[in-house]
Amino acid sequence: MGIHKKLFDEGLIERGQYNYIEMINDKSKVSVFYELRSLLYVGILFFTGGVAYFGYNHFTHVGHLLAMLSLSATLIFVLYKVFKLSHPFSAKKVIVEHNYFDYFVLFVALLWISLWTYIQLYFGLLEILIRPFSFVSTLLFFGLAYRFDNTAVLVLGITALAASVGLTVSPLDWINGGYVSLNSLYYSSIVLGLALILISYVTILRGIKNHFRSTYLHFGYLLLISGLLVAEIETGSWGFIVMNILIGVLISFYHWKTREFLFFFYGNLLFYIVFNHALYKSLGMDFFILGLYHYPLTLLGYIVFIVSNKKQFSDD
Amino acid sequence: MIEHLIAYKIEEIEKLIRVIQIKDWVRLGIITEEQWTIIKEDYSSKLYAPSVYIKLPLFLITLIGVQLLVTLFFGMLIMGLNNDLGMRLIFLLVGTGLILVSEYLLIREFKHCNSGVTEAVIYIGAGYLGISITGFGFEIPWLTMFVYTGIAAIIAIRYLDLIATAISFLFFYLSLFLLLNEAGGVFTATLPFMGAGASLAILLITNKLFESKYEKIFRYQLTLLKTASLIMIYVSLNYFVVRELSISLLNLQISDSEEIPFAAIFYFCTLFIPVFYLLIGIRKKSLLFIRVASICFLASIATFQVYWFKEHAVLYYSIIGVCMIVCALFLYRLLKNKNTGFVTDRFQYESLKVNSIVELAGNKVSDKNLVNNIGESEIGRW
Repeated sequence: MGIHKKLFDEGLIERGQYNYIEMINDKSKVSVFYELRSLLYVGILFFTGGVAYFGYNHFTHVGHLLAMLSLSATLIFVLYKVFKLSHPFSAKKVIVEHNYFDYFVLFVALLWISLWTYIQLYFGLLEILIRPFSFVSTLLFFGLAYRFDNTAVLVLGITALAASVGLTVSPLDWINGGYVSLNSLYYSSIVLGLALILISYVTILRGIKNHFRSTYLHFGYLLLISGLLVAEIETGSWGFIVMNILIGVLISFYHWKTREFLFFFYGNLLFYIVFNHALYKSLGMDFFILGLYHYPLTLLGYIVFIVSNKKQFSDD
Repeated sequence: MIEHLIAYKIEEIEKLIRVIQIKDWVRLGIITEEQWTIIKEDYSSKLYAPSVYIKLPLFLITLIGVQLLVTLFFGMLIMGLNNDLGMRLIFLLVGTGLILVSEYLLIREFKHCNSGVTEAVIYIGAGYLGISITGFGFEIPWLTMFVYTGIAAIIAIRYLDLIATAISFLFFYLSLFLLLNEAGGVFTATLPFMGAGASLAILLITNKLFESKYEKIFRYQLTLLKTASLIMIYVSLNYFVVRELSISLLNLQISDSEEIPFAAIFYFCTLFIPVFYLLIGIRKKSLLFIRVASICFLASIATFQVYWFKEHAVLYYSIIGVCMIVCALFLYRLLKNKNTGFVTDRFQYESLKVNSIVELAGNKVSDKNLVNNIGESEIGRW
């Protein structure tokens, strides 16, 4: 006997729900939504990639202008389609029944980035326009995200906002230690992080798109924590160390109460890194001898702590 | 009999699998959050199996912590020893000790089940145990791989571990490959068929197990094995793989325009194995077969491009792209209008509820707000 039958017999689910699960289990209906979509996407990728490469190789300047024009035309067409399919704005979550609606909205955002990057690169305007372009993109993406209720576009908006204040990290920069030598950019990171955390609370307070809260919090904490850590390393100041320890404790304590493991873990991570830095600063080379015992014991102690309090995060 | 091999209590595992299944239904919107709150009171398992967000940090921290602890206590001892046997004895001690800690303390005492902590401790323990058995020299590579296959398989069965299942499958192929390559001659020449044969055998055993009473407990491992063996049958007989391996292992001296022996067979397999999988997938309504077929199709497209359309790759991919788009749109339209058993909508309770009601009424959905207008009483009608 299937579990759904048992749930139905015990009156925990209704007949409609039971029938639906039965239909999935006996495969009387099978959804190929993801399979068809993948087929379509790979097809579009092959075709557009092929045509673009062909144009690039054979039409030089005319090809570039044609590519820009076709990108613009596609952008306008998809945007028109999005408006046609969308429901009116609501502060609550809006579900549009069309299967591909969310992807159309995301496609608009990606086309916008592609088109303007192409234009800037082709006309050699990248250095002049990168900041204003990022800022305009931020406004556009935030507008699209709220109007059409799209978390993926909100993520693009936050990324564009970070870029417009100069916060970008490329893998190459990271390898070369570029992120550490950002001079005073960590202030931007801290301010932007705090702003995003604040927005997440305003979101809930005002009841506007409550489901955007975790996205804001994720980016907010990541920017705040990385900014604080870079600031601490760059300045080497005890003030920052004490402040970071307090912030780490505060974040951990708050999300312990809200029972959200990932954010609690972010707080723990900040605290642990800063605490170790403080130990290293006070003990110097002796820290390495202490580290032999300190790391295994604290890490395993942390595991014991989390596991013995597993009920705290049972909903996660 | 297999029940005795599993480290957890079967009833608790069954409960846990039920909870995972019910959570899936909650995610699909079939069961409401309110219903889930009531259900989980009665159906929760005593086993501690956290979500991936908690599991991953726990795994990484335990991995680093335990490894550091082992280094702290045994590092000096191992460095002081110049004796291979002594080192292997210490590794055996550490490996067995860690597995026992996981078994008696974490699993039996604290009821952990793939919590991230157990995996980290078991993997480190198994690694030490493996080295203690095979030694440091890896004198007979295929035998070493075979020992690791065995260790990984035991972990996969005893702790219902998916990663260990995948590792044991990979090590099995590696040991088979090394063994046949070492044997040389006809064995190396028949490597593709041996590989496909071994995969077929695993597939048949997996299918048998799917029909047995163990299907419930080992469902995820069996699905993984089935997917992997289907892919390996294709990979073993794919023209690109066979040609490149033949050139490197058999030192075949052939130019770009020349073909390997039995090339037609491998071209045939490269083209028709995905078709065969797709047909089975459609006939059995199996998403697993359809997905594996899609992956194999992509590999076949790349294979044919490399050998047949080297000069016209751009045109080739553009035409393939057009074919895919046309195919997707055609299928979308076909499945939307015909009752084939396949639906194009995402599997969500709300969307299918609407479609089913509309199907009953013999109309098409025209009102976007229909979802909101359907009352609870109408759910049962379809």
